[in-house]
Amino acid sequence: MPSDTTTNDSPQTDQAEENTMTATKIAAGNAAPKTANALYELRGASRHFGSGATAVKALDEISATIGSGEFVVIEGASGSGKTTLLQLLGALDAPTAGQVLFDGRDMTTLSAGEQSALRRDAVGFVFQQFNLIPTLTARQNVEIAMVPRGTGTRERAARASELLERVGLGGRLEHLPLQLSGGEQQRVAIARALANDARVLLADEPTGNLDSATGAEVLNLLHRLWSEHGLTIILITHDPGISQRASRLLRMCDGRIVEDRRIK
Amino acid sequence: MIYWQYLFAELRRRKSRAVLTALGLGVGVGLVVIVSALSRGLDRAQAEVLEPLTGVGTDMTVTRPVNPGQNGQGLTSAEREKLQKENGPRRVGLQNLGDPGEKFTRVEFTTGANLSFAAGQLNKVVAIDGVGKAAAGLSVSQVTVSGTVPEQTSSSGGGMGGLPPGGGGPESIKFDSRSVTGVDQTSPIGPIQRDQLSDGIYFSAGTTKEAIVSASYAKQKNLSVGEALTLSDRNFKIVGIVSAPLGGSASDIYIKLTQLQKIADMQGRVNTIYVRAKNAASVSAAAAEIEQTIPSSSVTTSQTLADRVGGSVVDARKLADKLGSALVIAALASSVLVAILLTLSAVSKRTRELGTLKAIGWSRGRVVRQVAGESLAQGVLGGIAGVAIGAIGAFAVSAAGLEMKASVASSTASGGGPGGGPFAPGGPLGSLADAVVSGSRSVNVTAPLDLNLILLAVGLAICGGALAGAAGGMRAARLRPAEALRHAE
Repeated sequence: MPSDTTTNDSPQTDQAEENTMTATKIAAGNAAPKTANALYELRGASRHFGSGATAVKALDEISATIGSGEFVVIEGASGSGKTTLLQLLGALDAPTAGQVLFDGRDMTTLSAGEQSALRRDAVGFVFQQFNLIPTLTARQNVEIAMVPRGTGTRERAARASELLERVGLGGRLEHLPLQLSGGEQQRVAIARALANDARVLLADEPTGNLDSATGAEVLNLLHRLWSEHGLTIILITHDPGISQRASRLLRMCDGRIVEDRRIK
Repeated sequence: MIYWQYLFAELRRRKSRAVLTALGLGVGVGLVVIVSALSRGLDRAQAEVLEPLTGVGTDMTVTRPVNPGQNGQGLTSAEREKLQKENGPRRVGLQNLGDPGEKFTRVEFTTGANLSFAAGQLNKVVAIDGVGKAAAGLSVSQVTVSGTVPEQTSSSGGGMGGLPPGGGGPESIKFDSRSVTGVDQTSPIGPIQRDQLSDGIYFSAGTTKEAIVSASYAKQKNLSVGEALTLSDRNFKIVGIVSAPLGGSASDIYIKLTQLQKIADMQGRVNTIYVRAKNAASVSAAAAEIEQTIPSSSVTTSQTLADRVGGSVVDARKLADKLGSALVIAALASSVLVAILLTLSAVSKRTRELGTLKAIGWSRGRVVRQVAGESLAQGVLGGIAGVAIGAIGAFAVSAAGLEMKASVASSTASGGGPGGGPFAPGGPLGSLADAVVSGSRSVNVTAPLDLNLILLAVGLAICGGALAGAAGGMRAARLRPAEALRHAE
């Protein structure tokens, strides 16, 4: 069960209960709702590319708080800053202004090594195009995430097998990505994201490259991980159906959060 | 384990690129192997020619040479006087041979252009710092003049004995000369050594009249070990045949020093001192000091002799040194450049993959190690390919049976000139004693390989791979994960 006490989100919430949703439109830069156990806190975070007249404001002074155990869906048109926001949250990029706090630590002050360690130990990524290493098997693709942590060979192999079993790929351990369907590849990617007991899973349109049935399977898997294991999930999507299964919706436009809605 | 699995899987995935990189390094390294092996082969061929020069245990020879010029012109008065005494009319002139028309035969010993000096100079040389061992020798020409006394000779005194210019003399007079060297048989150094004997034995310790003849002289005169040889009415037993090395000092006949001094009427005189330096580094200094110690002396080092060796083998060696080095550097630089460019290209193509690795927690160093490891593995493959290419090339060179010439120019004083004269090559003293054996010989050039060369090849290829890996690794390290993930495959 997620432990977000602030929002009282129930993991069992689904789209059938949409009438209980509380919509809160907030202007960009407004103070984010306080969360008792905030995992992320954005304080006027901006990310600009280029300078002068050609500067692009991918993120424009965003402030928000995301609690541990939330299932946050980020929606918005292309170029609205969703992916940039996700990259700031994943310590893949740094804001040009403002702060991004993870568990109370200002990520902008972390060294490259500390950022790597953060990604290794606390964050799991799931990409739209899966981003698996094509030359490695499903098991090896999961194992490779455990390499920087120094996990022993046997333990690595056992854990990879266990994770792949958990995502329903117990019989596909030694298959190469090209031998797997899109949905299976995405499940391998999810298993890889979970390899180091990540606290948060950042998914960038994880169903974008999948047909609707497969996309639904992957979404079910993510939902199960959230509901059964209390994982914090922040997911970018264009699919309005997905937000109905989340605990919170952030809608973005022109680098700003234009809607922050908690879903009961 | 997974590091290696990933590394080899990546090499397999980009097989053609990996093969191209390894082959590029292999060709460069292979060329290094071939040129180095050929260079080594040329060294050996050159050493084969030089070995007799430097292998007789002598680092320096001390002589007192004069260049007599045409009929002795251009000498100092002291040199001229000495030259007259050792080579002049008293020894080879045609005076007092008898009445015109009478038959005559006259045998004399001359020192030619290497004037004699007191044997006691040997002690001064031995005392010089840097000199290890020294031995004295005397090299002379035994000149036999025979024929019929010519009409004009009775009135033509002085000069160089009234010998007609143009060399050769009148047809009625025959000149015959053979070179004879006196050897201190008790010394470990000298003009000949035991290992130069092609037949027979070296001199005994006693006073037995023994002679060792050069192989060419023995062949010319049809002589063999055990036969008798007459020198100035004295009989010597031929105990050995010695092969004169190309470029080395050579005489027709070798006898014990004291015996030659006696029959040549040159007691207490020598004209060559053979010197062995204490070590190679002391040769130059010792040579300079010897030249200062013995007035008018000239010191010839084994390097001087080596410098006289020329011919295609030496030209090829020089070519290998200059052009070969340039070729090797260019080939290596090109192959490393190709490897670097291919590695950079590979990193560019893997931008998103490397960005993914960074996203899942791989540190910059780990990503760099992965890229560099792959390049190093390509370097190892390149080294193996280079050894194979080099071995094939070296084998082909050896199998081709390249034959090159080594030639040695004569060092004897050239007294001939346009007008000839007694010291001219065709003249009576043209065959000066102790002449350097000139001529040429063929040597086979091979391209030998050895373990060091193979290790060098592999090492160079790995270095090339490491350089390429460093370049690729730096590119990978600079990748910002967010940008890398945006990169389209």
